[in-house]
Amino acid sequence: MVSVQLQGPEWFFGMDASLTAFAAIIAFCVAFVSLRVYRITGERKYAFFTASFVLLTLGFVIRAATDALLEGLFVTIPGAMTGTIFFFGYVTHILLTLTAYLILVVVTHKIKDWRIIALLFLILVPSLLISGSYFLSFYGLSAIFLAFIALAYYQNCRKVCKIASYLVFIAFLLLMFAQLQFLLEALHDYWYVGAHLTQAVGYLVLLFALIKTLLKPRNS
Amino acid sequence: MKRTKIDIVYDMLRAIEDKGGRIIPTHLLYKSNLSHQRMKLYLEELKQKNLIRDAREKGKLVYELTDEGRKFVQNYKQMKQFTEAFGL
Repeated sequence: MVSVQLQGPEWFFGMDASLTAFAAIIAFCVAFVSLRVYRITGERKYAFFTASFVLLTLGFVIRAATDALLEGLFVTIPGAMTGTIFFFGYVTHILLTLTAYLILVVVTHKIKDWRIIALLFLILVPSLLISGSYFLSFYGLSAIFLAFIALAYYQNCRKVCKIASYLVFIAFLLLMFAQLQFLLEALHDYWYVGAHLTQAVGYLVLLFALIKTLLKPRNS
Repeated sequence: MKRTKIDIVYDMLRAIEDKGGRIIPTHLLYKSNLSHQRMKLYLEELKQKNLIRDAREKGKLVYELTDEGRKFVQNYKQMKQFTEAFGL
């Protein structure tokens, strides 16, 4: 039987799944708005942006469900099944999330060359598979991807100089810091709690940015 | 500042809306500030996406704004804000 070690302190069980579900809702809202823009403009960049946030949503939903199942929030899982749920739940979450970040890097840096995109993907998959710890690789790779996305948004907000663009930059910076905190969770459980809170604040800031873009301009 | 594709489409549709929803090709060419060749490409795309359609007025060709086109004009500012904020 595979031994499953749950992350974070026991008092935080359930809250981590709730915060992940909260992130999923916000990612879904961004995907929904992006899909609306894509349906009107028909431009491919919006389709890719929508796809990345749909993948993020699915990844978070699966993560939240896996956490809730393993923590025994709704039902008690037979011991023999926990290993399978742990493996498939978290591995699916990791693959979906990393693919989403990869698409976001491609879209935000406007990478057009398919060879570079293929190269990134081919580096990504083996670096996960040959890793001794899926989680360490995942958080490390996520932090790198999010750092590049935050860099693109920093350059964007310098160019655009609008409140919403600054909020998007801050949101992705927070998401990157959250991954670094997840990396440190082996040192102390509180890093796991801190990471979840930072990630939730990051998505909340992203929601504010989204609302700001949807508000009708005063001089329209 | 260089106009993006979405800006050009908005300028074209706005020009049609300002003329009461119908415009003759020469007026659109003048208002959209594009070369004849590029305007033809944009017109094809706008027709494909059902934002405008060909119509006849006193036997002359005019471009008519569709409901989809009107929706685009109304939503343009929000789409523009979304595009700018998310660096697309």
